Amino acid sequence: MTLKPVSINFDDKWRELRQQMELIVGEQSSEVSGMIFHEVCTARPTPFADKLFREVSAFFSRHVTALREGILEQESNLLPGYASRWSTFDAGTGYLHMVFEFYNKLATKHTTSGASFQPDDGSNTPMPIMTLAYKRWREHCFEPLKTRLLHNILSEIEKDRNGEDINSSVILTVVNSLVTLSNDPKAPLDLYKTQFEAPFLQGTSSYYRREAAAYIADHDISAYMRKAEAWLDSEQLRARKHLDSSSYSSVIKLCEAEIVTAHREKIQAECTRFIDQDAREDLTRMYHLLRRIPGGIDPMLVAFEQNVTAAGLKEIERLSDAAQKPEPYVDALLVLHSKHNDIIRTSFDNDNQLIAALDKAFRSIINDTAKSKSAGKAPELLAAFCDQLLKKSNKNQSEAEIEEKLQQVIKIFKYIEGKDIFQKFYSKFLAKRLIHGVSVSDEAESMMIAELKAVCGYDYTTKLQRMFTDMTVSEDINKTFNEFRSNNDIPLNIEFSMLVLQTGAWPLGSAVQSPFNIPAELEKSVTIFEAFYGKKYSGRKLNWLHHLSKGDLRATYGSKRYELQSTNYQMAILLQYNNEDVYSYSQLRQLTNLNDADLKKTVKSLVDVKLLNLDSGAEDVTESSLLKYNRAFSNKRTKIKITTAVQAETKEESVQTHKSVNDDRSLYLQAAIVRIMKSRKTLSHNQLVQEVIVQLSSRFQPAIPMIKKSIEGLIDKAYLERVENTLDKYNYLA
Amino acid sequence: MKVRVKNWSAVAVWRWKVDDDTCGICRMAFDGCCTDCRLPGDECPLVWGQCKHCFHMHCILKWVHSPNANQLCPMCRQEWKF
Repeated sequence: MTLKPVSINFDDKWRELRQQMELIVGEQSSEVSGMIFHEVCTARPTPFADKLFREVSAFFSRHVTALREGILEQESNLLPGYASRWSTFDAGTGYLHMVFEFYNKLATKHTTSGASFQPDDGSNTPMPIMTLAYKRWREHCFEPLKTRLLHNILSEIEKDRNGEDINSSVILTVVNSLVTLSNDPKAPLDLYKTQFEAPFLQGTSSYYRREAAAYIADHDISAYMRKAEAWLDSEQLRARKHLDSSSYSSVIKLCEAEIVTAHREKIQAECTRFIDQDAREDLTRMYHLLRRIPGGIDPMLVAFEQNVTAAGLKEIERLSDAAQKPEPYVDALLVLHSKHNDIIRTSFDNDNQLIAALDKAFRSIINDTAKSKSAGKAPELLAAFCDQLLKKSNKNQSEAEIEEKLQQVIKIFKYIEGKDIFQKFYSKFLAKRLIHGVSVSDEAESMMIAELKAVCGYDYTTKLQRMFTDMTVSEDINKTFNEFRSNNDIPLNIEFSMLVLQTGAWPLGSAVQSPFNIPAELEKSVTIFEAFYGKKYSGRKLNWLHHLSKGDLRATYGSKRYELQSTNYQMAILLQYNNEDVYSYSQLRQLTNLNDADLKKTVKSLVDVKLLNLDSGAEDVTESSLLKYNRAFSNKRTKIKITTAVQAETKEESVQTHKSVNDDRSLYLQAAIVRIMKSRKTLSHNQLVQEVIVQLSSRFQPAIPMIKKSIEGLIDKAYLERVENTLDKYNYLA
Repeated sequence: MKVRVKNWSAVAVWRWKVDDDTCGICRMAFDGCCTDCRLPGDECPLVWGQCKHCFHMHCILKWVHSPNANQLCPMCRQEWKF
C-alpha cells in the first residue's frame, strides 16, 4: 500500500464505498478501510474530494428517507419503529464516523479554509460524517414525523400515569434521539427543549391540575397527602425513566406547583388538628410535602408553636396548686418537652425551624407572667428541683439517673429569662447543701455547675465555684489543725471540724445573727482554733456563724444512750441541764444570750421532741415557762435528729431573695448602660435600650420602664446627658 | 453528766482585719479585689508593710516597682518593707 496519489476511477470506487457504507449504517459488519478516501481525495490527475462530499451527502438523504418510509408503515404508534431505526442508524453512523476519520478531517479543513467547493443544494457545506448524518436525519425523518411522534409519546406517558404498562425504553430512546440531534453547541438541547420538553411540561401541568383538583374534592386531606406523595414519587421515577437529566427538576417543580402549592391552604389548615391528635404519620407527610415549596411550612411553625404553648399553659393550670411545687412542675414541663421533641425528631426531620418554634413556645410557657399560679416562679421552682435531686435523701437515685435528670433540667433552664433569679436560689440551696454536708456527690454538683457555665458563661458560676474551693480549703485547714494539735499535745475532748468560708462568696444573707454565749464545752476549741488560724493566715479575722454550726450530743438515760443531732443553739440549751434539772425561760435567755425569736424556736423544738417538758398544763412556750429536763425520755431510735420548724422562714427567705435579685438587677442595668455609653459616646434612646437588652439577655430580661429609670438615674448622677436640641439622644460624660 | 458533746462542726467566715475599707492605691474595697483581678479572696491577698499600711498585694507590688515611687509607702513615704 502506498500513500502516493494514484489514478483511480471515481465511479468504481464510489460504488464499492457506498455498498460498505450501507452495510455499516445498517449496523452490519464490514471491512471498509479509510484508505479508500485517501485514494479518492488525493487521486491524480484530479482529486475527487468535492464529488465525494456531494455523493456522501446525497447518500444520507436517500438512506434516511428510506428509513422514514419504513417507520410510516406502522399506522398508529410510530415509536417502536422510530426507536429501533434510530438506534441502528445512530450506532452505525458512530462507527462510520470513526472509520472515516480522514474524510472528517478533510471536511473540516475544507470548511475552515473557505475552499471553492460549492455544494449542490446550496446550504450544504462539507461536514464530518456524524454532523451530516444527524442533520439529514433531522431534515428527512424527524421533522416530517415530529407532530405524530410527540403525540405518541405524550399519550404513552399518560397511559403510564394511569397505571398501564408501557415500553419505557422505547420512549427513552426517542427522547434521547432529540438530545443527540440538538447538536448546536450554542444552544445545547435546543431541539429537545423546544420540540419535546415544553409540550411535555405543559401536558404534565394540566394533567395534575385536573387530577389533584378532582382528588381533593372527593377525599380528606390525609388521603390527599398520601396520594400527593405517591404522585410526586412516581413522577420522580418517571422522569428518570423517560427524560434527559436536565428536565428532572423542572418536572418535579411543576408537579409540586400543581399538587402542593395549588392546595397548600387546605393542607396547612389541617396542621393543628393533626398535632392535637398526635397523628405522626400525617404530620410527617405534611411536613415533607410543604417543605418542597418556599414558605410552605411557615403556617406549620405557627400552629406548632401555638399548640405547644396552649398545651403547656393548660397543663400548668391543671396542676393548679401542685404547679407551685418543684417536682410536679418540672416533671410536667419535661414530659411536654420530650413529647414535642419526639414529634420533631420522628415527623419533622429535626428541622431547625421547628426546634426554634418549640423553643419559642417553651419560653412563653416558662416565662408566662399572666395566667398561671406559678407565674414568674419558674427559676425558683427549677432551682428547688435541682436541690431535691442533689440532696441526700431516702429515695436516692443512682448517679447516672441524677445526671440524666440534671441534663434535662438544663434544657428547661435555657428557656428561663430570669437566669439571675435561678442563680440566687441555686446558690442558696447549694450553700445549704455544702454547709450541712448533705450533697449527694461532688461529681453531680460539679457536673451541674459545668453545665450552667456552658450556658451562661464563666461569670455566672464563679460564686458557686468559690464555695467549692472553700470546702476543699477547709478540709486542708482541718487536717493541718489536727496535726498541729497532736504535735503540741492539745486535747479538745471533742471531735471538732471547721468550715472556714470566704465573706461575699456565700449567700448567707445579711440578716443579723442573734448574740450567743458559746457553751463552755466548746470554748476551748474556739480559742485554740482562732490562735492557730491567726498564726497561719495573718491579717484575717474569723466571724463564727453559730446559727449554721451543729454537733452531736451523747445523752444517757439509765442504761440507754442516745445520739442527738442538734444545732448549736439546741446544744447550748441542753448543755445547761448538766447543772440543773429545771430552768425558767428567762434563765435560759440569760445563759445563752439568744434573742427571743431564736430562743423560742429552739426551746420549742426541744419540747416537741420531748427532751424538755413544759410545766404541766402549759400549751406553748412563753416568757413565763418553766422548762424541765425529761429524765424519762425514751425513743425507738438511738440516733435522733432534732428538727426545727423552718417553714415560715423559707417563705420569708424567698421574698428576701427576690428582693436582692431586684437590687442586683438595677446595679447590672446601670453598669451595662455606662459600659455601652462609654464605648459609644453618643447613642439614641432606642439604640441604647436595644444594646442593653442584648447585653443582659444571658442574665435577665430588663423591663423597658426599668431601663428608662436607670437612664434617668444616671443623668442625675451626671454619667450621661441629653444631647441639646434633640429628643432622644444621650452623650456619655467622662 | 446528762449530755456531753461528741462532735462539733462549726462554721465561720473570714475577712481581712483592716481599719480602712478600701485600698489606698486602687481605691477598691479590701473585701473585693484589685483592678487586675476578677475574684477576691486567696487569689488577690492583702499585705501589710512594716509601717502597718495595708494594700492589695498586686497594687503595692506595682507601686514599689514603678520608677517614681522610690520604694516608698504611698501613704507615709517611709521605705516600704514587707
